Amino acid sequence: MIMETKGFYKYSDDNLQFANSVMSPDYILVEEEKDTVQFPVDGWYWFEIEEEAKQFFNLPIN
Amino acid sequence: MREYITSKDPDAWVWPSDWPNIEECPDNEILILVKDHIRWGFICKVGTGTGTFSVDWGDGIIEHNLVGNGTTQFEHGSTTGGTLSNDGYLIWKARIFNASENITIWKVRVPSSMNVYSPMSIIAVNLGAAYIEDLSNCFDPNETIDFNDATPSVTWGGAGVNGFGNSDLKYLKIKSFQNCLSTKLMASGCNRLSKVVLPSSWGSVLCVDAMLSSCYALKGRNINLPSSWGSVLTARYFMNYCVSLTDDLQIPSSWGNLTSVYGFLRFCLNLRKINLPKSWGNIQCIVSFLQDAFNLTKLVIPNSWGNVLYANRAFNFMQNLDILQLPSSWGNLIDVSLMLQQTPSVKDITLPAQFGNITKAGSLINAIGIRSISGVEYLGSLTQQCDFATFCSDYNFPMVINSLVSKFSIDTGPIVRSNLSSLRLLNQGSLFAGGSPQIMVSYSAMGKSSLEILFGDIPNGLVSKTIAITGATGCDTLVSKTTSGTTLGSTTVTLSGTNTGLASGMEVYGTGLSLARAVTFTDAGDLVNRAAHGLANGMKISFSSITSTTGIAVNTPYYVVNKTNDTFQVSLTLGGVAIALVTNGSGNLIAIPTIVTVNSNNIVIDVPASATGSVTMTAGVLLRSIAMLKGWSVTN
Repeated sequence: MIMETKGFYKYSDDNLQFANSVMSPDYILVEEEKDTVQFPVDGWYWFEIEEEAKQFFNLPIN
Repeated sequence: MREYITSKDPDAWVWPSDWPNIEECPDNEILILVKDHIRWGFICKVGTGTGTFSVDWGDGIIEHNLVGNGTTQFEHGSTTGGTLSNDGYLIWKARIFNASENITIWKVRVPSSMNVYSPMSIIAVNLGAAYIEDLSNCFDPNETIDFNDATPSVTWGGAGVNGFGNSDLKYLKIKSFQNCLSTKLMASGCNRLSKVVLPSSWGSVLCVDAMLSSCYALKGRNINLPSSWGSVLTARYFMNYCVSLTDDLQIPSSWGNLTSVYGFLRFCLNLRKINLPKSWGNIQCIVSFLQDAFNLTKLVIPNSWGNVLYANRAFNFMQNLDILQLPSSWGNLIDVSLMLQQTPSVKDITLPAQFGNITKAGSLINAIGIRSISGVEYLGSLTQQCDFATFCSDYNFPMVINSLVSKFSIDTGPIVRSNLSSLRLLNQGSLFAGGSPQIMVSYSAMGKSSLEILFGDIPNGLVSKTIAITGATGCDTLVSKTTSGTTLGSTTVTLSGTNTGLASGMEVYGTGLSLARAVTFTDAGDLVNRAAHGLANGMKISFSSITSTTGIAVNTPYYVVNKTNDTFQVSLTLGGVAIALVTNGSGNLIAIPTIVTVNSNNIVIDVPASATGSVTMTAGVLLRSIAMLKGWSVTN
């Protein structure tokens, strides 16, 4: 099974967080708006695959 | 009466018949056997104060009147002669003798012609010198190890990192520790060491850290530990990686003055039995004490934690441990993180039924197959914030945590889910100061109701916190409608496409919909002011920022009361008394709309839009507003 890993990624406190969407009192992040949002939003970025996110945050890729 | 010898102990080490015997050594002398295969020779440092000594290198060369200041290196290289051993190699018996004063320093290392990481050819040593002051690193001066008990970490350096050391050493006898302060790393990496004869007392030794670490061949019956720890204070990594230990290691019946046994029997993969003292005594640190002792099935630990502060990883990865009875109190423990991680055979866990002062409980019960567990509700602290990061994985029981919490998460993923179906974090004093996400229940079995109850447990007033619910059973599939039309002050949102997936009761999120909107506060009349705010009495709102005005707090849900077209008051209870606002000010209001009606080309919501525009409107059935009104982000 191939896991789909597109989504929002945020790296903080030595932890890479993933989310399909983020509902915050201050901002909303959903896939449908990924092309119109200016990233980063509170540290969140959009990546099509997890490896891209790890590369961006200089994290080891398994 | 006839006595029959039925068998010989196959594990007892006996002196090889083809080796020159050095089991007896005269006082103030050192006997060394050196084996020639691809190398011969070694460097020797000897200290005899202002005195002199002699070396018989075993090949007919004897040097006299050497000055032993402890720094000068004496080296002997290629040679002739020796005794032929059964395996075809030559063995020389070297001797340090005739010292005019006490030998106080002795260290050996590889010949200068060889790589510093090369093993030496010394196979046996008998230290008849009773006054050696420091036996640390005596076989591998390049190896280092440092520990931090309070923030558990181990730093290796030098040859030991690569598992070398004196890999040929098989026999080591020490006459006395009477003047010796340290045996740190003494035989670390001597992975063929098979027999160790120690004096009956630790004498002056304070530190035995990693003294026998990675002595792979050493069996319990082939080392005679003194019956008391004497003045020894630290025995960290003492017999780490002694993989030949099984069931016959005898350790003293008391820990004496020891304060740290960090990694004491770590990675003793074949250990099957160990009798521990009945008390931890003065020990404060048992970090990684028996970590990775795979084959130990039963462990009896003291019935009190005594002075122990740090027990993280103490029994981590003991894969076959069936029985472990923990003390009935947490005592002085601070850190129990990873203590029972990956102990899948421990099916029934009884944690103390009273609070201690644990501040680190991350991964404590991160194991599979737990059949029963009690006491989680008393884990942590009522006065200190406790870290519950990756606290558990497979967990079939409702979980209630009463402790102050800095972070809570479970060890799950899209493939390995958790059966955790209910989590209550009941302490309203929790600050959730840990790293984001401060709460993570992703891929758990928590349904919509459980998630909303957990949202409700979140304390008011915290700033910039995140709860992750990705893949949890109750995490809904959000419905997003692009190019939806909002009009300032209107409760109608037009749809550019179909209304598929939308239903009344769903919460709505989006720009101009759920995001903060500006308000002002008036002291006189305790009013919140926003023209045509459209809120109804009884609605729950909060403020993400408040300037100047006091009496209300940010990220704290309030009920709307006494509303007019352009003003309203706030109360802590539904229909309750209005809160007195002090000092005029301004702020930002959070109100999450809910769908009232779904029509073919629009929806009607219960909070008017705060802006006009074309936006992506997202709707969901999970009531995220319970958390969002407290300032939390919800990720899924």
